[in-house]
Amino acid sequence: MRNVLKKKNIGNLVIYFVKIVFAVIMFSPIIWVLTGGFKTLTEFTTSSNIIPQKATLENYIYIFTNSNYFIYVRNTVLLMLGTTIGTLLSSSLVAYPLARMEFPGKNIIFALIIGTMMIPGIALIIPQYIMFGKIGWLDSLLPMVIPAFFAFPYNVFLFRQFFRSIPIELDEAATIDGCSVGGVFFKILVPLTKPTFVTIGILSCVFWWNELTQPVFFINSDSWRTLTIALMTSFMYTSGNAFVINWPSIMAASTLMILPPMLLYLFGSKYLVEGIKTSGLKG
Amino acid sequence: MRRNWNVLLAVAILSVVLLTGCGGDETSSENNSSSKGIGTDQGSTGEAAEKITIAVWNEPNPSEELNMYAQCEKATGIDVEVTVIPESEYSSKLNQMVATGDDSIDIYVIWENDISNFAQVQGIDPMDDYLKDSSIKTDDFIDAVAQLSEGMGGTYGLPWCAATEIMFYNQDMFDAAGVEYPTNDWTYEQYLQAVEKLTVKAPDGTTEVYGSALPNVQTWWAGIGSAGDQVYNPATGQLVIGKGAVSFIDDCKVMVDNGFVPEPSSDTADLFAAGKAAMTWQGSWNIGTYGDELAFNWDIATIPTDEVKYNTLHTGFYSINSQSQNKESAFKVIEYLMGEEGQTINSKASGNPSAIKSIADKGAWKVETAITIDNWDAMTDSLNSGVFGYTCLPSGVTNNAIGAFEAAVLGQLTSEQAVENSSQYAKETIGY
Amino acid sequence: MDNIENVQVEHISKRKRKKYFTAYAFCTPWFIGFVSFTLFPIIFMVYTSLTNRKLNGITHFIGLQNYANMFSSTTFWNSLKVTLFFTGVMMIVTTIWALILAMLLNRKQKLNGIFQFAYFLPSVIPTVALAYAFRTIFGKEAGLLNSIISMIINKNVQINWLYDQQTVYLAVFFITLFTYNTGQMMLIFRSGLNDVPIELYEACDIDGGGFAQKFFNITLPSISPIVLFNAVMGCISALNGSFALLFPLTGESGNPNGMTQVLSLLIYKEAFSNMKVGYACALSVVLFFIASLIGIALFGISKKFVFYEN
Repeated sequence: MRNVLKKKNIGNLVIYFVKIVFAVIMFSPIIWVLTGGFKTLTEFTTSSNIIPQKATLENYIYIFTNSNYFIYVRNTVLLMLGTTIGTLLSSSLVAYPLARMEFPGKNIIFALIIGTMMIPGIALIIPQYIMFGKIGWLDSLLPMVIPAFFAFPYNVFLFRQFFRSIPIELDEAATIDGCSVGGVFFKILVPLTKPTFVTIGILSCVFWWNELTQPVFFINSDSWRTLTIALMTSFMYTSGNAFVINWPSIMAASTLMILPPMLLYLFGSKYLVEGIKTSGLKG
Repeated sequence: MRRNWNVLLAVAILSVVLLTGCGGDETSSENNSSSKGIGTDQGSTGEAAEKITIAVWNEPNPSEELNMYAQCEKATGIDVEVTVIPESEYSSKLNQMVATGDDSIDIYVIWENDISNFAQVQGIDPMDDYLKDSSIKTDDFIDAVAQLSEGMGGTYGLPWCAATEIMFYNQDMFDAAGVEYPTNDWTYEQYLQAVEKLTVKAPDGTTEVYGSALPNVQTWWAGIGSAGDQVYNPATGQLVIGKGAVSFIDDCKVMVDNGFVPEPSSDTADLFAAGKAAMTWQGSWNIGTYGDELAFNWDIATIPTDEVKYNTLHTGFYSINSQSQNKESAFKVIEYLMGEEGQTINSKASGNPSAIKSIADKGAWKVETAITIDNWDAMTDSLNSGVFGYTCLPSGVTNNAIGAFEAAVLGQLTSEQAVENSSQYAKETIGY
Repeated sequence: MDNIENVQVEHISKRKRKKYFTAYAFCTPWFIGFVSFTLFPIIFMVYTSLTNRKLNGITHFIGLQNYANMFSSTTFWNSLKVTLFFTGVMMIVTTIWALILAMLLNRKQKLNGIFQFAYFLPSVIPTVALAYAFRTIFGKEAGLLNSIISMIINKNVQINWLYDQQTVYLAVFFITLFTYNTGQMMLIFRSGLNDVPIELYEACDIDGGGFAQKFFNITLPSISPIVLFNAVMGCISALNGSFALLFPLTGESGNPNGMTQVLSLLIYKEAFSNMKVGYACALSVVLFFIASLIGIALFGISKKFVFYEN
């Protein structure tokens, strides 16, 4: 008996040790980014100290004074809010019949939705670009916000999973009471799945906060630039030399960008984790 | 209940659309003051309603005296708003704007490989009519520029400067190694020998100080052109490289293998400025960037002569967007920027000489803060031997070629293969 | 009698029709979106791939010329090879790593919350920031990794991680472990592992089964639908997200020597650096094709190996 217990304890210790090693590995880039923001350019490019010898705030000062940082934040927040509101409204609407009703063409529509998820975004971006150019929506947030109001496949899928977890008896009870089909949606499903809305809202916010590919294609000017674009452009070159990348200021900007999702995770981790887990449910 | 939901929905949609769509006006006026950095109220006359937007890839100079756009506002009374588009996407963004008929920018500063394209699709207007009554000395341009504009059926763009590529060297290191300073007549062999002597190695064999930095994506072509290749054929628009490229790549490989020159890597530090490389080949505008901020004595010389003396000229062309609503004012702004005052300020700020010979002769481009430079003749010498070479090719082709050259230096393919692959890719791409 | 039946039948179908109508009404946002933002661009993309449209808008119809050029271009075949290799390996590597992390986290030990935080946090970092951070970590002269290795081996090590053919893939696949997709997979695996009924494990214990048996005979089959789902998400992420990761990391040419030039990078390069929009659309059609093939293949495999609890 004692041997078995000892084996178990050693086993646990080994696993604990492995966990710690992995945690160090996974967390190291974050530490690197955090400390990098406080180094000078020469220190960053000539040494790899983890703790800066000549800690300086010059990078942060540079970010706030030499670029339109707050405009970028405003743009990113607008993008986030616009797309999230749009997708919460439309994806839930579209998911409802897919979760609850039977009608001809249901399977085709669902298959199409799943299929659309598989299309690499980069493949569609060029024709979308030309299209948006023709209607003059380029260089604004419209090419990303407007499609959000017409249902994103991934969120439709998530909503469908969540709706199916609500017992159908509640629907039936409401229908007997004289509720119309639409009424069931608004009066029963939505109130009961408020946590779902929060979850998907958070997921959407984090996604758009970090999104680069679409804004980089659709936005030209400085006045609509988002933070991710700014990371790749405004903060990169400080001296007149376009071949010297100002790493510390990118690190500083990255640190600022990591903070909101990190805080969101700390306070909303329950929702975030639940949402991501449930998206993998079978059926 | 349902009605409330519908109302909520409508309000939500409306507010978001309003915010995203209409926010533009507010931001452009915010952007006005922040991107210029200097008050808009100074110096505007009663015509302050006129505003011109100009697209460039460099931030305007922070000090007001050296900010030619601010000075232009004072002189012409026209608001000049500067839109900075990062260099890495500058060309493609401009192409996109022309393709979609964007009218938000009045003046494009166009790169060499785009100007004939834009002229062809009538994205920019010829300026000959405006030039007839203007004070700009169009017959005084340096030869290379004049040749570039030939064959376009009109003057579509005016060059904002004439920048060249030169060699920077660290005088203190030359003194310590006992090597004579480079002159404008230095040969390529002398350069190779000096690189070896100037390298300082640590006891364990790694290099502490490199004899020279690796050529960058611009000066690779200087090396290849010096070795005898034509690089760019204006008649066919093709990339022409061959034995010259092979020999230059091989030389670089030898120097890298011996530790005289750093390997191509993802590090992007300016080794010369950090005091870790004794020489470097770079664009002449770095004189303005370095100024008096380097911790050692340094000077310039022309890029060493191999078979020929070769470097690439760099410029941008002021041109008027054919969709612009303010063409008259746009030309007035260009007139100022191409005039003596505008060109002089530009030269002082960037260290780039004007493309107009008589203005360049006055020497305003000799950056005042670069106090250690004696060999200013290197600049005029370089300009004379400079041509518009690789800058006239699509950037995808040149980037691809540099990637192949660097891979050859690292030994991943032979230099012949690198040249072959690059030429093949160029043929597939050019003339599409 | 007939009349009453007919009336009843009519009544039912009217109700059904109304029901269908409501269903379609709810689906209209998706329908409009699908046609405008997916279907129409696809049709336009296929059409443009038959032209030689340039970035400045000039276009002429040239039929299948783009495809002919594409198939005779070594750059294309290299890119195709790299894309398939990259997608496959990334899918396998990230799935396995996510599973390992999930299994570690499922052992309820002290401070589990902190470990989950540490494992998941890299996922919420923008991919661009991650790519830049790693570009400096893998740097040759001042990279963090090189200095750590130098400290351990006590010799000055300067491996050119991102430019050396032999190490670039190691570096890139290491970075994929930190992406959003991996973190997401880890959480999904966690919940899936939790759902495996404990009785199955206990039965195996009684039968004297060791860790390996438990894993391959119980755990894997039970979570096989999740493995499939994650594999599909992994592929989508590799095809899509590789752009945001590789563009800041290796540039559009996929240095060194095109070894990381996945199709998404090539599409960007051809459209925006070479101005060949028509050609880029042809490449996009190919990418689209590949995505569909992979999707179909994965679902085909699922029929064989996935064990649903039905």
